[in-house]
Parts: sequence; C-alpha cells; structure tokens
Amino acid sequence: MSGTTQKHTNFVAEPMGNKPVTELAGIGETLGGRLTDAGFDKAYTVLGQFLVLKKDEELFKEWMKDVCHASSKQASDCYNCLNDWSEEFL
Amino acid sequence: MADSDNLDSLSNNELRAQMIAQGLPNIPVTDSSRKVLVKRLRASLGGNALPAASPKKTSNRRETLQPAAAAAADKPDGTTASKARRTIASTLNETKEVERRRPAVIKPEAVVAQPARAPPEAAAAPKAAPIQSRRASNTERREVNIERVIKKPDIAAEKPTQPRRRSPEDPLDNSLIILESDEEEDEELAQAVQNAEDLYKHKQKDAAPSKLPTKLPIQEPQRRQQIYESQPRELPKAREVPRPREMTTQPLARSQATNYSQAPSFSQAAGFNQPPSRSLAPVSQARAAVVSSSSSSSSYTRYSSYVSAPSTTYTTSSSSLYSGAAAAGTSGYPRTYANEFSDDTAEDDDDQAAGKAARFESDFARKLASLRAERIGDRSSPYTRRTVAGASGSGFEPVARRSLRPENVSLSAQFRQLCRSIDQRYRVKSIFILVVFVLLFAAYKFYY
Repeated sequence: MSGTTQKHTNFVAEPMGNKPVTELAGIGETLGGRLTDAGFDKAYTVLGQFLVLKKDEELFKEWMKDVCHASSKQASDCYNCLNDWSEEFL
Repeated sequence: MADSDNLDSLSNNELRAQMIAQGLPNIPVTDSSRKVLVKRLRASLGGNALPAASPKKTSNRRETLQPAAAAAADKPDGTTASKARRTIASTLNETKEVERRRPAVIKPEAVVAQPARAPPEAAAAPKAAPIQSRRASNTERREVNIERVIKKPDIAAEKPTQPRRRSPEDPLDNSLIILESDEEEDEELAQAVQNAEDLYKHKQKDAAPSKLPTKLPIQEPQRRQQIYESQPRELPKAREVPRPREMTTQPLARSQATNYSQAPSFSQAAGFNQPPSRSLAPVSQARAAVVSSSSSSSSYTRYSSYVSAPSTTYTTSSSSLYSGAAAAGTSGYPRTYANEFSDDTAEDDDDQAAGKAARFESDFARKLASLRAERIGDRSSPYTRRTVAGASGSGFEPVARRSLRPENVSLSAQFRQLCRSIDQRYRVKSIFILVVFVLLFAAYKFYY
C-alpha cells in the first residue's frame, strides 16, 4: 500500500464507461483473457460482481482467485481499484 | 464431506437461506459468486471463524479486537484442523486478544499462565504455540523495559553528579578566562598602582627617609616582613603565575625602553618572582628587587604582567631617585633568569605544558599589554605630571583606589584645575566683577 500505480490512478480518475477489464488495476493480458472467457469482458461486469459480493474484500478476492487464478496481489490491486472507484463515483 | 455435497446440490436460494441461517451476511447467490459463497458457508459450517473473520475485515480493517471477540464466541465448538489457514488465523487473533486484555501488571503470572491456558486453544492448531511463545517473549521484553525504566532514574541521578564533578575543575581550566573580566582587571590595576605607590614610597624612604614616612599604609611593614621571609622560599604557585608575566613583560619593557633605558630591566626583574630570592646581588639591590617583586607577587595573577608595566612607568617617572637600584636589578637579572629556567625544567614537566599554554596566552596578553602601554604612553604626560607633582609637593593618598587613567582624578581637583585654567585664560574674575558692576549700574538706572 505504499502507493498506487499509474493504472490505478487512471482508472479511479474517471467513470469507467465501457472500458475493458484490462483497464482494471492488477489485471493484465492474461487475467483479462481468463475473465473474458468467464464472461467478464468489461470492467463494469467485474464491478457488478464486486457489488454483488457487497464489496466484501475477502469474498471478492476469493472470487478473483477462483475465476481467473489471480494472485493475492493482483486480487487486492483489483479490489482496491474498484473500491476506490466506487467510493468516488457511487 | 456430506455437507459439501449437500451444499453443492442446493439451489441458489436455498444456499442463500442457509447462509443467513449461519449468520453470514445476506449476499445474493449468483452463478458467478456461488463458488465463493459455498466455500465460505462450508467454512462456517465446518468450523468456525472464517465467516466472522471476513466480515470484520470488510467492516473495519484495523480493528482486530471485535472480530476476535466474535471468534472467541465461536471457539467453544472447537477448532478443526481441516480448516487450517483460517482457523489458525482466528486462533491467532484470539490469543492476541486474550493477551491484550490481560492486565499488564501481572505479567510474570501471565507468562506462566499462557502456556497453561494455551494447550486447550492451540492443541487443534499447532501453529498457535510458536505465536504464544512469541507473545511470551514479548512480555519478557516488556519486563526488561520495566527494568530499564527502573534503572533510568539512577542514570538521571548520576548525570547531574558528573557535571558537578566537572564544575569544580572547569573554573580551574577557565580561570584565565575568568580573570579577564573588567572588574578583575580594574582590581588588578588598582592593586598594581597601590603596589607601585608602596614601592615608590619604600624607595623614597630608602632614598630619603624623611620625605614620606607617615604616609605609608599600616600594612606595609608587615607585608615587607612577609616578603622578606617568604621570598627565599618561593611558593610554587607564585612561580607558575609569573611565567606569562615574563613573556609579556619583555615586549612591554621593550616598548618602554625607548623612553627609559633603565626601566625594562627593572620591570623584568619585577616580573620574575624568582630573581630576588636567587640573586646574590648586594643587599640594597636585592631589597629593591624584592620590593618590586612584592608588588607583582602579592597579586599572583597574570595581569601582574600588565601591572608591572605601569609600575615601571611609575618608577621611571621618578627614576632619578633610584636609577641606581634599577641598574642593580639589571645586573642581577640574567643570572636569575637562568636560575628560574633551570628550576622549572628540573621541578615539573607539567609546568612546561603550562608554559606552552602560557606562551600562547602571552601573545594575547602581550598584545593587550602593549596596547595598554601605548595608551598609557599617550596619556603618560598627565600621569607622570601627576606623579611628579605628587612626589614634589602634595604627596600621595594611598587609601584612594586609583587607576592609571587621568579621568579618575577627583572631581573637585578637576573642577579647580578647570577654573584655574579658565581664569588664567579669560581672566574670569575681572570680567565677573565688571559684569556685576554693570548690572548694579543697570539696576540703579532702572529703578530710579
């Protein structure tokens, strides 16, 4: 938590619109491909899952690991990204 | 295992109902989230703390106490090894919690009690044991801290003492600096003048005993006796002090030498306390030297170097009286100089170190003294005039404290002198009489 990445700040800076999942922090090409395969092709779908899990960090991270085999760091990055975005825009 | 099968077979709605029954948060079960939720439900059913643990983290991450308390409530069921990670984490929290709530005062007891209590809690989760041991070590550390706290006052008590120990030494080290205060200087100066006057009077008494026998201070005979007694055996203190004097007196004497050829040698002789005692000069000469040295040795300060300079000027002003004695001092000087050096080298090495320091100081002192000497030289005309006048006519009043500065002439005397000078220059008396007459005349005209 020493600092946020450029990807994180970029994503949190504006409404996500129709951004692809790969715009989310902690999600690169590989994870993005897996998520897309699982049906989560847009960032807002991941946001939807995040909201359905009621912003529960544990659950969301578990879900991330389950769906796209994300590492703990990737999962937490994605969670922080969505959490900050939702705090900003919801 | 049967449970898990059962959960997998449940529909989303049933699953959600079961989660609510388990006390888990009401989270919509969707196809995408089902897996995760089933996992958590299974954890909560199988054992325990997982469900409690996760909500706590979401709600407020940094507060660990409340969830731990919740976990403690679940604990009686018993932890199962199958729930490995989470349960361990929860027990960890529990143990931390328990230890935190334990009062810090009973720490030794706590250290003993924890291992005793630990087995029931940590038996299921073996990893908890090392943690507890860590906790125990923590408590030990705290005990150490307590000891330190206890010790600290001692240190604090010791610290003040050290400065105190140093403080008596410091003045000794800095004594030279302390001596430079103005008051000290003035005192030295006054004393020097006093001594010079004493010397002068003594000289006069020797030369012309009838001149000022009554004006000698009462102490004078006593002091002379002391000097005569003490001089043969010089005090080590006195010898250490004059060293800077010797350094400073020489340049000073040189500055004076232009005016009075006799003075420097005599002043040097005066600067050394040593010479008189060692010199084998004739009695009268030795006496002169002794008296001059008494003027400087009585003060025992390094300002006596400066002090000796005025004394030289003083003596030289009346040098006509006892130039012979001064010459005798000159003759006696070289031998004593050598004597002193030999003595110093023989006696102590510390003196040499001190001598270096003194020499170093002497630069400053020499400059200072030379500056003073110059100033005195500038003012020397009134001063000498005064002393000469004193010698010729009214004599001295040794009681009054004097400095070499002409400003210290008594106010009445100054005023008188001023009046006299003005009178001489402008004939004030006649003018005053004239003015009075004019005024009288004017008044007379005005009223009649």
